[in-house]
Amino acid sequence: MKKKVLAGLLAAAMTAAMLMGCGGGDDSKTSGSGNTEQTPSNDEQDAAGGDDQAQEPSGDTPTIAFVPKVMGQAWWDYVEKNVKEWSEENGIDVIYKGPTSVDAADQVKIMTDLVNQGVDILCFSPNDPASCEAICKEARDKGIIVIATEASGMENVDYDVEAFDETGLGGFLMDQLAAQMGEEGQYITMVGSMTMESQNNWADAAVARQEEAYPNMELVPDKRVADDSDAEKAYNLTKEMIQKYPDLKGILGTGSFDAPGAARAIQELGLTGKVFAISVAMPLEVKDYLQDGTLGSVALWDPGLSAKAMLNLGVKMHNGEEIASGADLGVEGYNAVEIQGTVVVGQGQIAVTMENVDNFGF
Amino acid sequence: MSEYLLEMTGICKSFAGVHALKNVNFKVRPGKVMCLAGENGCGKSTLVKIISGVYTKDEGEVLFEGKPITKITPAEATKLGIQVIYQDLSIFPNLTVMENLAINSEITAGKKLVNRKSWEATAKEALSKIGYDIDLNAKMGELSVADKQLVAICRALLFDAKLIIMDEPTTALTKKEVDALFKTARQLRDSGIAIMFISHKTEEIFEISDDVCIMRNGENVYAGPTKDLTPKEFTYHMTGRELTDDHFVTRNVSKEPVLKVDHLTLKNKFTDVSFELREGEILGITGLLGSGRTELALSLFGLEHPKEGSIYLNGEAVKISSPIKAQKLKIGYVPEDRLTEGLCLQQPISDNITLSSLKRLSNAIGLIKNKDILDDADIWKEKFSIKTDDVRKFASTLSGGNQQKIVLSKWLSNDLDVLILNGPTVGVDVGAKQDIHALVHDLANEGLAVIIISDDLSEVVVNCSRVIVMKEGRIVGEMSGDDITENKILEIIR
Amino acid sequence: MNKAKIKRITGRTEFWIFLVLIIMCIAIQAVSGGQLFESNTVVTILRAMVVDGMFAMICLVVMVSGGFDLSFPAVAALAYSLSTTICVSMGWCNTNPIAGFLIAIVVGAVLGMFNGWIISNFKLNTMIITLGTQTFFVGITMGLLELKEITSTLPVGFRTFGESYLFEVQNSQGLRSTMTTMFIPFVLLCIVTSFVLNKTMFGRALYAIGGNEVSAERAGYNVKRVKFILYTVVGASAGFIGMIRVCMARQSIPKAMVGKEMTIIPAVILGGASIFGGEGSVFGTICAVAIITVVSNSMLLLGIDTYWQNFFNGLVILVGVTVSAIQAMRRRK
Repeated sequence: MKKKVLAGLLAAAMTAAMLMGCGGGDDSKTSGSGNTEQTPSNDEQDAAGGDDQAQEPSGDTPTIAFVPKVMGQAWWDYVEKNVKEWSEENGIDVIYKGPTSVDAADQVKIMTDLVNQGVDILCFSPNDPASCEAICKEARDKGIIVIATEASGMENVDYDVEAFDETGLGGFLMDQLAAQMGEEGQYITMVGSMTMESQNNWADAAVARQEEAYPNMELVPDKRVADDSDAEKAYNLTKEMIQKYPDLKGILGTGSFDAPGAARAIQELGLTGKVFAISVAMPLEVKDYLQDGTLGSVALWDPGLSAKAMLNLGVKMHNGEEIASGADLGVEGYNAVEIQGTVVVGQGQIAVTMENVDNFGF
Repeated sequence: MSEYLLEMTGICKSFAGVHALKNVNFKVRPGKVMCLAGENGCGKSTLVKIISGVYTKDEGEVLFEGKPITKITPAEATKLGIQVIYQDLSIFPNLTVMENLAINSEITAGKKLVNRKSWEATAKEALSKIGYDIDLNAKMGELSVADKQLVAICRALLFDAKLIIMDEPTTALTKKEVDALFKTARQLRDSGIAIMFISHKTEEIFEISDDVCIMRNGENVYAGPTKDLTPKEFTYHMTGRELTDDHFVTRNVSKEPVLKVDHLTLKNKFTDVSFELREGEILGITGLLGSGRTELALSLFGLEHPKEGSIYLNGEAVKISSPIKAQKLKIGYVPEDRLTEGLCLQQPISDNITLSSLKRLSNAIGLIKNKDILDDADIWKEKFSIKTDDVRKFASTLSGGNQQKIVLSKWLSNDLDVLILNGPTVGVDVGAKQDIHALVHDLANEGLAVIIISDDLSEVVVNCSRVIVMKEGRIVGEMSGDDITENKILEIIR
Repeated sequence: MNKAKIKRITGRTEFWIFLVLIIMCIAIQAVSGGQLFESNTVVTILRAMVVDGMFAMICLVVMVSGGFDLSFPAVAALAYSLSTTICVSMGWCNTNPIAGFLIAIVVGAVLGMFNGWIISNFKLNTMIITLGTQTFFVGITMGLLELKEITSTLPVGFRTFGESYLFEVQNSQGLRSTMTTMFIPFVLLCIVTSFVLNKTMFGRALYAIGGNEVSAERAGYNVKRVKFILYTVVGASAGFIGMIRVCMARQSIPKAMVGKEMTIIPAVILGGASIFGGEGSVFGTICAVAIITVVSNSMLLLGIDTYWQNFFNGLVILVGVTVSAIQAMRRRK
């Protein structure tokens, strides 16, 4: 349960920069309709544009819809590109349609239209999970496979695909930082706020990873600082910490404002290559720092891969395959997913570096 | 050039159909002090506001220096040489004396920037007008009322004032300060400036004014030289009724004292004070400011705590530790500053009257019926002839005298043995003063023991059956009955 | 005379605030082992003072006039969010940020006029009015216009302006720090505020209105007009300061200003501005902002938990307001 909340918060935090959604409502009021009826139903109408080039060896070609939070934003443009790619590779058409602004009501309307059109698989990323529950229930009652992402806590979905869990990301951040620091030296952790549960859990996981794998690294006595999700404050904090701990070598941030702020301080102080920082961040925001070497990498997940994994999962279910922990969704980072209730957790965290920073467009 | 600086004939003004001024006529001569007198609410301030351009008259003619004025704005009035010194003095407590003196003329001159030198020059010029010396850099708020007033006068003089209107300037001043103010006023008068002095204090009006205009209910009932009037006639014009200063005569004085004060001493305030008070008596305690009279009264009400001596009530030694205790012992106290200490102005009259008797009005579980409060208030309204049509109106709608009546009724609505009145008629106009005095006389004759603390000697003489004079914390004289005269008291005090 | 002069100086809040600042700095310098007065720490603190200090200036002028402005963070947020959104969609400000600043100033001025219009026409408590308009402006920003965070797509003109610096210092450990160009507008705003308050009739009008509004009207000031102009200028300044912050932080976040008034106003009160109006100076205000900035900066240096920051801010409110109330009480006596 906790993880669901965390993943929800994580999703909100990471995409806040672009999406500014209405935030994730956690638990919905509707209960019942358990997830026992996992068998896909393919008795529905075979509507809209069939494809004769079907490469799937077994079963009919499903009709798939993918509903993003919003159309026309860099993040979702990138997802659309990947969905198209998948569509071509697999020879299955995907209807990619979402609201023109980040609007929960518009999104539900679009989903309702699609459900009434009679799709077989509905993939989506909700602007407001709570307001999507009703239509998702209706869809599942009709036998539509419903797969969400960034929607933990939703009741009426078959699966919610999440790129990673807190241990995965925390450990990943630490591994990346340790590599840059040469696995030795002092470091400190930074969060958006001491009350943000997800970010603090990532930081805890990162510290746990260090204690287990990097004995030559040392957490300074201040342990953790909070920058109020403000790059300017992160910048000032970094300067103060370097002042206080002249031997400080690493800053392990979690929030998306941590690394950009810290990098600016490192660059200004002339400590590039001596002090290292990392956090979850949007690629374009840290591009300059990646290119001039102030930052080695930042962490993110690839929303394109995540979308492909969702689509593959849907098709697998459509084909009646059993989904269990260890299942391979055929996408890097999702080769052996873990199933936690209705949440599918991958190892989809990626390092954004100088090499791939331009691949995303956001 | 007319003989008069300002002539007003047939001035009428009404607000929402209510006549505030009805056919007012009066004249102001240059180089004279003219008093505008009248009880509260008689239309004095409306008249001043018409002169200074704040209000526009409905009918009538105004001539200033012989020239007719039809419509005038405050700024134009200033240009003509009319200056009003309001009761609040219109000063800026947060600014320095220099700034207070200069700011008006700098604004009038249309300046955009501050030139300290010019401000200083202006301020010095202002002070030189009456030869007044004060630190220009002192904060205005830290000055005494008298100093503030002089600064305000100096500021008014900067505008080549021909007519200075002073709105009740003596209210917050001590006798000495009033003398100083009058000296300045005479000085100005002698330099040819007309002074219009608004007041309701009979003695002051006779002391300072050459002419007087008395208003009542929006009409002027007398206008002419002050010397043609006797104080009695003056009072008659103000109030519209013959007022007789009935000396209080005790009727039924109890044998045993209700209150006995024995060798009471409060360090640095008063020493070794002893006296007795019987039912039916009105005891005056007088003396100069700082003589210990107020502290003595506060001690009897539990607000000061004398260490030595004792107080007996009905023969029993008591310790009055707090006002609550005092009330339990049936001692009532009406403070000097009734507006701030005794009344909730923004509360209904009825609530004010019943404030201290809520316990009596409440039922077993402490609930109070609104109707009981209104009924109770109506009883006191009748008894004290409080001038209001509805006791649910705010206390602030009443005149000063009627407010005082409320404070009195507030205390009397509880059964009392001893009532202490501190300066009962300070700031009350003459008619209401009479009413209050008569009321206190009645109360005493009904068997209440009353103490009046006052430095208004005429009040003490009229009201008290016995007087104690205090000086530097000690009782220096006592007199009773017909022996009480102002002169005798003065002799002892000085 | 000399004695009176000394008394006048020691009687002012500014004197004591300045003293507190000096003593505090020396104490921190001693405890932290000389880290406070290192060139790059000083530069860092001055940098951190820029935005808060500028906001403090506009709060100061409002408080001198006897008012309160709780809406300035909302005005700033709406002004810069709208400005950056327009610039992004129009493709403006890729070389210099001038257009963005102009838009923010205009938006701020319009919102300020709205405040000014209500305040000068309705005799209501300014704190209540600006509390209302604050909520209203936030509603426009977040609800009506749905202005979004702009981070990586922030036009380059803002970034380069924000990154530009006046000079660079290096401390004994070889750590460099740069003095941001934004320090110039800060200093200019302080000078302008001081000039307006002390040397113009408009400034004296603010003190006069704060001291006694009725008297100010009688003295010949057009109080309504003065207030309208005041709140308009304050709104425009808030928009400008908001843009400065966007440039410094290289991001435009509509929510970033939330609660700013609760740290700035106490600082201004601590600096000697009276909650009853008519008192306050630029010098005292800067000293108070410096105290708060130095303390927040030194908390980490001294190893004090960040939670204590709230404790300290609360303490500042209490001390400032108490002193202000005591002074007002004394004056009334």
